[in-house]
Amino acid sequence: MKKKRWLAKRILLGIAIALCIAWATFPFYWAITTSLRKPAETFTVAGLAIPFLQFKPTLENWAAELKVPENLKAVKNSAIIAVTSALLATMLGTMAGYGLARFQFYKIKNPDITIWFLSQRVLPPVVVAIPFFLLARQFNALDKVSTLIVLNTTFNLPFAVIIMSQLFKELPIELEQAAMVDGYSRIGAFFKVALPLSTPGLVATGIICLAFAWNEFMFALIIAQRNAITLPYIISGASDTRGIQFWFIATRALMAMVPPTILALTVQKFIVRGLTFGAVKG
Amino acid sequence: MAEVVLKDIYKEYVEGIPVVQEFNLEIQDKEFVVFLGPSGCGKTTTLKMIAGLEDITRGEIYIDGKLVNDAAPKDRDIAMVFQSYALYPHLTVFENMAFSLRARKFPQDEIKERVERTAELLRIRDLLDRRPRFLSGGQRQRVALGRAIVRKPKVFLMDEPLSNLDAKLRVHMRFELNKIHRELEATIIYVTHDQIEALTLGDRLVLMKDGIVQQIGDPRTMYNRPANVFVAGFIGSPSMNFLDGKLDAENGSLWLDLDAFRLQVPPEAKNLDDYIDKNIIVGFRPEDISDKDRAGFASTGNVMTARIDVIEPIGSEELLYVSAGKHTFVAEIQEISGGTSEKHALVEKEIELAFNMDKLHLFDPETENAILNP
Repeated sequence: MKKKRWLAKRILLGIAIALCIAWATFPFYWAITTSLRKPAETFTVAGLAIPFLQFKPTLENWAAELKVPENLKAVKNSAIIAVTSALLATMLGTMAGYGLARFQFYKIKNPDITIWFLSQRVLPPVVVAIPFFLLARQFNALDKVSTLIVLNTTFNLPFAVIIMSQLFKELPIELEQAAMVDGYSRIGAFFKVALPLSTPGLVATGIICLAFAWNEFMFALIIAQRNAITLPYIISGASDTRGIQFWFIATRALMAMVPPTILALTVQKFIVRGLTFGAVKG
Repeated sequence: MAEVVLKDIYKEYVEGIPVVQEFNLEIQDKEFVVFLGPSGCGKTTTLKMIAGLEDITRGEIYIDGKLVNDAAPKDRDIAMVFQSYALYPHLTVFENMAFSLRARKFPQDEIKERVERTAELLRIRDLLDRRPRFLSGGQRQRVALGRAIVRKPKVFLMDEPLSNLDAKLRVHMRFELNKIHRELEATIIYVTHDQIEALTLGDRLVLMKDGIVQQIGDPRTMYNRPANVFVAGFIGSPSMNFLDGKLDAENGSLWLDLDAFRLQVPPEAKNLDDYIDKNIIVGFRPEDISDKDRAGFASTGNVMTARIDVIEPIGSEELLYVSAGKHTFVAEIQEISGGTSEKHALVEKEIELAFNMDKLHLFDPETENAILNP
């Protein structure tokens, strides 16, 4: 009886896990198989579209795509925008987060500042899309990569501030006090103790900001025209008057998916926490 | 090494609500001073003000004759041992101890030499390559101590350094601290809420309550001549018995009227005339109450009968919790019961106890200040 129930439990669990895996990996599967089909086959081959069985894989979509200069430009722009804005947001967010965690503000109290940052994150970006467009036009900043860097940084900064301030709050203040007594200034203590100890969180924050900026579509849509185009921008470009070109969507989606996936897998160990464990008490 | 002077220290976080006030103290060179008091009395705040980790609202702090009110912690030449140890988790034991030396740009070979010598002193040489998280509580404590010692600062500040250790280790580290203090000839300011730690370690104690210093003195004075009811009750374990009574004058001698019994005040007691016919708080330490048969000092003027409520053996002695009339108190006496069954048989029985009147403490019920100490 007991064994039967145990078995049933295992089977149910197995089904649940299988469903989750299918849900998570299906987009990859779809993109890969679609990108390897001839354009016409993206409409004709039905069901799971298993390569070799249902169609003969071909690299001709890839060959065609890599010849398009816009695509390469989009990859380059996306990388520049994502990396730069993630670095900026994390850097500024770390400093602001430290200030928020360690200092008492009196005119505007700390919780109010936190709520203010949070509200920036909750605000739907579409609300400010038109004002930003007008501003950008006024300052001659339309279709510029730097404008998109600034916008992405602005919108990821609140997230970085809140995550980093929470991280610093969890760090025992005695560690910095000890460093200050041991001979460092406040800034010295920050760089020697607080910062090294928050590296895992710092990296995680950076990765998430990077992903946000990498995936950002709306600002790219209103700011970019020809120069500042990004990957999400050209993915949507695969749908035009000729209809939806699934074969291009698939190749471009893969171009957008692969780099962050590789990055996430390589820095995984950084995201694991617990480095501060054992700092205080027994 | 150096002396530390605190002048009229006043500290508030919220305006008008003092955390520490009227704190005046001169700490001599090489002195071991203990700030003692219940939690929230302001002792750690005072220590952090000396360290420079907290601002002072008013007052002056001098270290080695230099006003340090506005000096950063790093410029005060102090070392601090934190209650939580605050070891740097990302650094090895060696680097933890070398941290302050590196901050002060010591040459590499001197760092190595100093760290190794200190590690030798604290017997943690084998641990130098480990990270703090792989150390036991006692080892971490030693590393924290080592980190402070290695720099040879002017003053050591210790914030309840032993409170996270188990009882046995604490007693051992107390002994080690005493030894280290002697060897280093250091000025140490030590914060604790444990009066036994304070009595065993301190050259001088500062007992605080609600941000106000209650008494400053050497352990013996604090124990024998407490300034008020709070000091008398805080120092000593089990703590002093307080009985509410009245002072009567009769045939030229003074008596303490405690309703159920009377005790004769020794003739040497002076300055009590103002309290005749008035209420008074009578204080006796448990060890100054004994059973009549074995007390050398028993006489007609100091013997009474009480009922035994509980007997608590504490090794060679026994604590007798007794009641008489409205009073309950504790007497610490030599074993009166041999075994468990005898012990049970004695409970709820009556016993004749004698008070050692030479050790009588009297306190004013209004101000709670001492009016008579032995």
